[in-house]
Amino acid sequence: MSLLQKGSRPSAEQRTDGNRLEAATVSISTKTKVQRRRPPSPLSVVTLIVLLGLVVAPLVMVFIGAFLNGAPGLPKSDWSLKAILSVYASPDYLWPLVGTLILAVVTAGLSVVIGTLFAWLVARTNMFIRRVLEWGVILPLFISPFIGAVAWNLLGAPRSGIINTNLRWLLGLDDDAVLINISTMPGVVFVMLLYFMPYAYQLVGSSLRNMDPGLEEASYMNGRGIIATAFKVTLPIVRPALTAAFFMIAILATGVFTIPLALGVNTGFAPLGMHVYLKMTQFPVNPPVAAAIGTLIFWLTLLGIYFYRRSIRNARRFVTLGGKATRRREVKLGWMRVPATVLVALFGLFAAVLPIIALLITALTPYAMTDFRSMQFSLETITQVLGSIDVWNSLLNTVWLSLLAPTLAVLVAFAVAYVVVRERGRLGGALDYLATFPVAVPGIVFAMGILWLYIRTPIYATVAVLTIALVAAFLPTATRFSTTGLMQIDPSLEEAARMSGASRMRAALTITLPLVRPAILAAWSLLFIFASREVNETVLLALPSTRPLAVLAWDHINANDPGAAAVVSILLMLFMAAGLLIARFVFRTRLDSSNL
Amino acid sequence: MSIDTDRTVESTTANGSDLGASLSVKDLRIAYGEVEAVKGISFDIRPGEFLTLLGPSGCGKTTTLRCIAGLEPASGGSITIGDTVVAAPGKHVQPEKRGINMVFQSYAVWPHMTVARNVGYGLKGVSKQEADHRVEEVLELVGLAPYAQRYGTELSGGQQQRVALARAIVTRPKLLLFDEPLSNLDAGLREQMRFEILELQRAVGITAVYVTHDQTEAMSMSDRVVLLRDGLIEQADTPREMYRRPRSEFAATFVGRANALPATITGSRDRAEVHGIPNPVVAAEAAAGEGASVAAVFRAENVKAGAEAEGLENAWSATVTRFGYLGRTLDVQYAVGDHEVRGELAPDTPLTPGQAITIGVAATDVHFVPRAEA
Amino acid sequence: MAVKQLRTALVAVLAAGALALAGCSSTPAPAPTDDTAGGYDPTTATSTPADDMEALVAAAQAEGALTLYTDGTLATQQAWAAEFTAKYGIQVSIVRDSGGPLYQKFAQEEAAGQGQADIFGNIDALSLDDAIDNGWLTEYTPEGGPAFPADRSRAGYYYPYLMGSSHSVIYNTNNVTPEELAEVQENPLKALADPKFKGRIGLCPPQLAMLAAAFWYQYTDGDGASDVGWEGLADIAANVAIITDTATLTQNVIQGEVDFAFPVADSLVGNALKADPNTPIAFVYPSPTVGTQFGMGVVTDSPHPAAARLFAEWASSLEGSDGLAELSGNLNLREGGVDGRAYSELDWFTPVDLDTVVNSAVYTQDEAFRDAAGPDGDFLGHWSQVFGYAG
Repeated sequence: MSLLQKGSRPSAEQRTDGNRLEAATVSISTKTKVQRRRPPSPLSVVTLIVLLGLVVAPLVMVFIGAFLNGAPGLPKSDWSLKAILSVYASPDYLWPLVGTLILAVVTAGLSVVIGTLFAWLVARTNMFIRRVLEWGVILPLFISPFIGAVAWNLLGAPRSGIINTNLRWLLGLDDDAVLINISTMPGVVFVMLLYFMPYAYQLVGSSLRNMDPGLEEASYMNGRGIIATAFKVTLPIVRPALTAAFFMIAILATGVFTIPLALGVNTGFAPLGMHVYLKMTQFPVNPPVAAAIGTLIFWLTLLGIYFYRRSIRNARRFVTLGGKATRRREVKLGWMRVPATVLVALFGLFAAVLPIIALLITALTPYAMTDFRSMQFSLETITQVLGSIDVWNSLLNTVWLSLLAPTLAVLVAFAVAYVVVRERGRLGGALDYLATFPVAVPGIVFAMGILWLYIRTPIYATVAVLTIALVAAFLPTATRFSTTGLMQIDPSLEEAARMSGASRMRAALTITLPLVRPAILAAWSLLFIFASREVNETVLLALPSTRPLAVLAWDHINANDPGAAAVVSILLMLFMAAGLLIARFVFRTRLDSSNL
Repeated sequence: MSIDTDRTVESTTANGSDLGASLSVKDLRIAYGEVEAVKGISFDIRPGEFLTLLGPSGCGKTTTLRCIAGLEPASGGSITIGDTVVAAPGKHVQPEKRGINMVFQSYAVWPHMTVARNVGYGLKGVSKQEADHRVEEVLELVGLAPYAQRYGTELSGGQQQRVALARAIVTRPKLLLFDEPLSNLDAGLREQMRFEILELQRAVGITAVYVTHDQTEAMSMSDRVVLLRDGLIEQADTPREMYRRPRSEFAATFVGRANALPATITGSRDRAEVHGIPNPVVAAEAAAGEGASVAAVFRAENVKAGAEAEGLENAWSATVTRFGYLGRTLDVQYAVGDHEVRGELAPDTPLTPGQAITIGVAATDVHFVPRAEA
Repeated sequence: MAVKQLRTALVAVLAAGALALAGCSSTPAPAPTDDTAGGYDPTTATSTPADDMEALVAAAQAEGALTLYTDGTLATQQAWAAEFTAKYGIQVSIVRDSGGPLYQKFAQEEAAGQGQADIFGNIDALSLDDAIDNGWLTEYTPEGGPAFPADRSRAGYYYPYLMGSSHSVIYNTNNVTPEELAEVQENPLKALADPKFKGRIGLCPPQLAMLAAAFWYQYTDGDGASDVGWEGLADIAANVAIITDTATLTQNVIQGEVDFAFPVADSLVGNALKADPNTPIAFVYPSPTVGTQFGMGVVTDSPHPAAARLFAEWASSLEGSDGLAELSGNLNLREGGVDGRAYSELDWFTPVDLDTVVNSAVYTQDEAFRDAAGPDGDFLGHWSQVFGYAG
């Protein structure tokens, strides 16, 4: 039967005829077509309510805040269009808007190019000490971008930075020679690159590893060389991962404020995220304008989300899990082998090794000293910080937060993914979109919404409110992992359980959950790190009793005590490393870049 | 008979079969949004019967099966298993409460469990001793006893298929559903499994609904075949009737290799004019009224050639356009006027392409069926 | 089916509304209980007679804890609070932030009936006054209160428990030559306009705190305008390398990233020298300059009202205020208080001429300044334009 005949309908006579199987059961359809749609499942309704409270309500609060003349709830606050008009109807934010876009696109573009190159070098070539170098790319994930920026300010400040100060006398240069100036816009891009590029590396890397080697081999068989194969076959196949990484990083860069702030850049241009922060912290404090700028960023990143979602949707089509474990051909780099190795090693040096050294120096010197010739060391800062009860209190908060937030985020995300992938109800689309929303709002703006929403509830001033903020912030990442993980599981595996008499719940617990375990653990590990190092979301919400280590470090920086901040940062890194090692033993998972 | 939600209680039926339940599907409709995949079909199965839903991909056969399983909601009509209505407007019994089981196309063997745990999964509420015993028994039955402690992923396709089968029968379902279970196996194994499944079904006396697009499977295994097309039943019959008396051009061409010449019924209702062929085609039985557009259907193996064609009611001069050697037979294609006719000859028949030859079909082998609308 | 869907949607919306409502409806603050009519209640008293001190201490110790909101230096405040804890066994938590955000946080919590603070301290007198107007600070006169200068207090509400500080030009003692220093000491802002200081100056922008705004205002519209004015500032702008908050500026001067920075409170230098006397930092007072003090008051809805009152008593005592002066390396303004300034004996130090210090109590009442620096004024925008500052 050809496709052209698809529209053909048997005559009424035939239909009756065909249905006459048993004389007794002949029934001619007389009822009009009943359109019965599946009602939303209880799970999807519960998940929707959770998302409305977690994601929509804080966002709504931000929008409400933008239409006031003071923070919501204050006695003198009233409805006003002033903040909205000052942001939307004046040229003041036009240049920051354009500049922010350019900054985001440049950072994301460079991150993706370098991340892809590195991923290819590590996954496909005979570069030296690949396993060691890979950690140089992964390690920056352990460093909060804001701590990294603080460290780079110590390293790369034009006059007093460790690099400039010491290279000056080492190389016998003039006293005012400036070899590197981090307090510039290129400096900001450089530091963002160091701490955002690993995301691109991770996404593209796993895509490269999952690719069927046959696709590349076929290209070699057709007489194409390494370069042509990389550009004509490999790159187009990992393209969805590239675009996903691009938009993810662009969205992150749009909301960034800690890095330009920590680098002390004043070039007359500040990205929108920094404007939000300044409006929240500078005199005169103006929360409505901060909220209004927040809404502006929201529209901007909503666009990014649209493309991001489109690219990850395509990624599903490109999943090429080669079942056959053929050994992959290793690309011989020839004379490029040494330069390639040096290039990747330099990244690890800049992103991880040097910042950690700078933090150690800061922790060990009595006040900021950068000249190696006159450096004095003491353990006083360390003993003083570790001797204060604050650090241990904060460590405890970090433990709670880093265990609770990823766990809850993964649970909610799994529910979202289950509804989206398995139930395919009409609520699924809405849930999927809602779960991506928090990406669109810079951490500080979202935290503002959470603060305004929960300040009147008993959970304010508890770790719970920080947890809620983080769970919401992590939802997009957790959902991405869970959705992808769930999609790789054949639904008939669950249906087989139902057919064997298992309830939906039992099937989900005994079949689905164990099978998505790797994806969930990967998400959990990543979010564990994020939860431990997060500052943007938590700084507005934390109180001394609920403050995690990362916020403590931030407070020390604000309180003009970089030494203490450095000690806390190092402690935080040790905590993350220990946490991941323990997780590795408890969950018996192998940790590498693919599940980090 | 009632469907026990508690699976530990074995129910016996009064219908002569130990385990099998009857199934009745009435005016079943299944819609996805605006698209209706199944448009109102009805059929019944007696306890212990083996029924196949046959049809091309997209005909709604798998959807129907999944609806019987409870994995898809019906948008209209009803499904009754034994005496229990499991799907009706406003009613949807959850799959696990239907007392049935299913073998999936992908086998759906759980990779994180051993074979024994896979098979024993459905034996909830059964004492461990009893469960172990039943698992052992069933594994013995499918010949997988030595593999009980292996993981599903360590087995070959055929072995995984047996695990799926064992898992489906260990719960002693009243109705067993098969969703194209053999389509992922290679040809030799497929034939072997066909008989194993049938043997098992007969031995256990279970009622079976089997979905396939492979007409050989449908013909060789089923008590009855329901041929579906575009969400409607095209024909429901025993395999023999379906083959011998197709009721439509579609049924004729989908089951077996048949020729269908477009024809118009003449005044004598057992004859029909075919454009470009001098003599009307003659059938043994009369068809619909004069002037009706029909297809004159006859099987390839009934097309005789040369001397054998002499004296048959329908004899045409034809040209051999091409032929292929199939071992047991020679697959030949002839040109008769503007029409192509396929035939089968003895393998050693000497032929050359372009050769002129007389072919013929006996009137008893020709049926007039309503022509598929263009 | 449509009805069912509608119902589901409605349930979802209602649930979300309930959540939002939970966020919006404010819990009424519990009314202060005054069951000891006429007698002394340590949780509501407006002062504590000497006879009742024991009752106050007992009530405070029963509460056992205290939260202090302050924009003072964290390490100093912690050390100071530790002395209080050592004496009374009451734990002190400190919430430290810059003045503006701290008040914002405090105001939102108090307005929401979620008060966390027992004592609220801020450098910005305006926010303290605003808190009193809103009823968030309660009337309480500690025994030592009247011993502080009345013109820097608001009697019955807040007293300068923390020392006064004046804004200065700080510099790195290693990187500045004696000749340069002489010029700067002569007339700091005029000298720093010289191109030889290009790339060596860090500034605190007026956006950072009202005090900083008041400082800059002195040189555009106040007493320093004739000497410097917007033109003079434009010359300084050509030399500027960093514009950031005072804490970061201090750090940058110590590190040697810039050689000069202003306006920075002298107390920050005191802190740095207190931590390590070898820190290469010193300051000079420009003329005019601005000065202020940290006022602290007892919070109305304090969760630990007795402990808050006890802390106020202790902070205003000679023992408490001297302790802070010693720890922070500053001058105690209380009658008979110590001069804890580590630098007051150093040879570069010249005390500030108090006649040239415009006090915060003055400028917060100055209408012209408040208009210019307010949301509708053009002062901040003008400054940003001259200095190419993005904030």
